[in-house]
Amino acid sequence: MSDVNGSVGLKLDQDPFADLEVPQALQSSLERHRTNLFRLIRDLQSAGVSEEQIESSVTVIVASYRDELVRAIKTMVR
Amino acid sequence: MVDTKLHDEPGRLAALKRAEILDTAPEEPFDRITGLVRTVLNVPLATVSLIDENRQWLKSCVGLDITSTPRDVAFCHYTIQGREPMYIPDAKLDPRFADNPLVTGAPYIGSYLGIPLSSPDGYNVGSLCAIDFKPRTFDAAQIQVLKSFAALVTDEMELRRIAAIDHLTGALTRRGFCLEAAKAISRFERHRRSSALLMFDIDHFKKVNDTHGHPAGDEVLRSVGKEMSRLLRTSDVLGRLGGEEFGILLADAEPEDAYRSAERFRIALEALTIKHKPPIKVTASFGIGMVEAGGGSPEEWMARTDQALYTAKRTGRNKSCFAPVDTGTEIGS
Repeated sequence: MSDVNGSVGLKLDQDPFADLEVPQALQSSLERHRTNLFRLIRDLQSAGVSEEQIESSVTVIVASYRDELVRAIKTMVR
Repeated sequence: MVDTKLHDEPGRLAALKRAEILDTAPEEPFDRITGLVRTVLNVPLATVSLIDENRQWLKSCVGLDITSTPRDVAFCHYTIQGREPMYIPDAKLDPRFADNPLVTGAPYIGSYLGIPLSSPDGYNVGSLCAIDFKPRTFDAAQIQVLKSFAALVTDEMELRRIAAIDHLTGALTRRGFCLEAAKAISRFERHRRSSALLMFDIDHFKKVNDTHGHPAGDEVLRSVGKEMSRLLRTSDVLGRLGGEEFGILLADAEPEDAYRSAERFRIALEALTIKHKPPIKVTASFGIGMVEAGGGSPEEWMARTDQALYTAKRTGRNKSCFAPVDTGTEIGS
């Protein structure tokens, strides 16, 4: 996470999935997603996309992935 | 070194089938990503395209109201033949696409950027595409952005697949099963390929839990899931619909086949001995519902089949009954 600068990076440093108890079987998927999310932020910054647009894009993606993740967790712990 | 998976079409199609995504309803996670691609790259059209045997099918498409094209005209068909992005700044100047009907006619594709989408085992099942109706350039940074979005599409596909599996029984979850039922309805409406839905419920399951405890109940569910998976054909689908209720989708099955299968499964479960001290025996009641023209949603199909299951329960259990169609036919075991 440290390679990302700026407000969006700081926001993600808080880890949007920290409150979830993620089963071991999903940990690698989540870790990969975190990495991909940070790559996206870096690439959006490199492409000159505005911080505002980056933040709204990341918010949409995090919310979307979180919904699916919660659904997967519920399935696994049922 | 030769990338053998790029040339293994049967393996690629099998990977696409394992993704359980073809012919499923639109889903927000994918539409959100294509929406963002459109905004961030400033293109009028963005798609998540999957390449089936003979067609391109769009899991998500923003900017155009289509769901599929023939495979031979799909740009994505070319994208999946490599590992790198495919970038066409001016389709009319590219000999592969100059005469393509999607270039010379609607939607008049002018430029294209596509990133291959790979399955967890390395097969290219489709691509994430950014399309403009006029020639344009995408710089290296924009190509990198689309690559990052493509990685997120892959994340969603993987998570979606995990969320569709019930980890106790190995069956699909109710949500995953409903998506499969929707595909069966779509197959019937397009090709008149009949499918049957079997729903079964383990008889007196509460008594198993009360007498032997919940771990024993879990073992019963696990054993039933395993036994059913052993008996099903690869084209059939098993789902755990909730508690001790399961569903089976039988592809290409007429009513007689469905009844015969239900009885075979019922008898197999009756013969099953679940390892426990003391060993546990169970029976199950089956409802059978055929896919119908204008039969509505997967939920409606399941509700109709559930009535048949209820009839089987009400009339003595450990038997198979048909859902009422026109005449309320009931075939008891």
